[in-house]
Amino acid sequence: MISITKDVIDQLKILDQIKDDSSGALVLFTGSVRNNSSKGKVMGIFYEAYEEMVGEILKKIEKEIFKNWSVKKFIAIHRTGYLKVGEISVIVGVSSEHRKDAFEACNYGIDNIKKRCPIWKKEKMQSGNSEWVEGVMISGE
Amino acid sequence: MKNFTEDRILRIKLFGIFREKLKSNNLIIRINDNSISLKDLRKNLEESYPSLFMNGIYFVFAVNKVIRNDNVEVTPHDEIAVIPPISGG
Repeated sequence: MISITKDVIDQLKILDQIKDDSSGALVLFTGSVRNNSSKGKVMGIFYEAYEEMVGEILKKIEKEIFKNWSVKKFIAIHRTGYLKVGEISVIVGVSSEHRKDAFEACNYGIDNIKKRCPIWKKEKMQSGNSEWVEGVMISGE
Repeated sequence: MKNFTEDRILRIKLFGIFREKLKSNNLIIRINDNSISLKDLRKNLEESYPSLFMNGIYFVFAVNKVIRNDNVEVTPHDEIAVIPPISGG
């Protein structure tokens, strides 16, 4: 299951969704807003996305994961809008029979979201300034 | 005098810092022919908005939601977006 959402991400609900009786391993990654960056103290982050394109890329990443690893269930959700410190911006969850596949697939998921999905973030600083984070060039297909 | 019709108008989606600086979700570009290469479109943007597109942030184009190199030709029927460096995840 993949999606982009404006809603708060409930990690316990996601954990429940990827549990599987035939899986011995479950790996969940959450990325959340931290209170500091290279620019100073952070109050929150605004996330913006080219949603239709993100949706298509997430589907491709999901397909690649099922193709390359023995995975039972996969979830990847990215949130948009303004998030306060501590809130979850992205979650990637994998269940598989054994831990090697679960760890590798989850790692692949988050790595590829970061380098292939057209999503941008703007940090709101304690100083009152807001700045777009200097990103990386998007990876094509 | 040339008549610019809908057939020669590109609507380019903007995001992030580009959307913010230009205060718009879309940029309208009129082209002289029925299609234009992304290389020429880039030149057009750089000449029209030099502080943003030429001396500012490097970007790539997405055409119909796929990143394309500048050799590709686009028409007004294509969904075109300007993609600055990304920072999601």
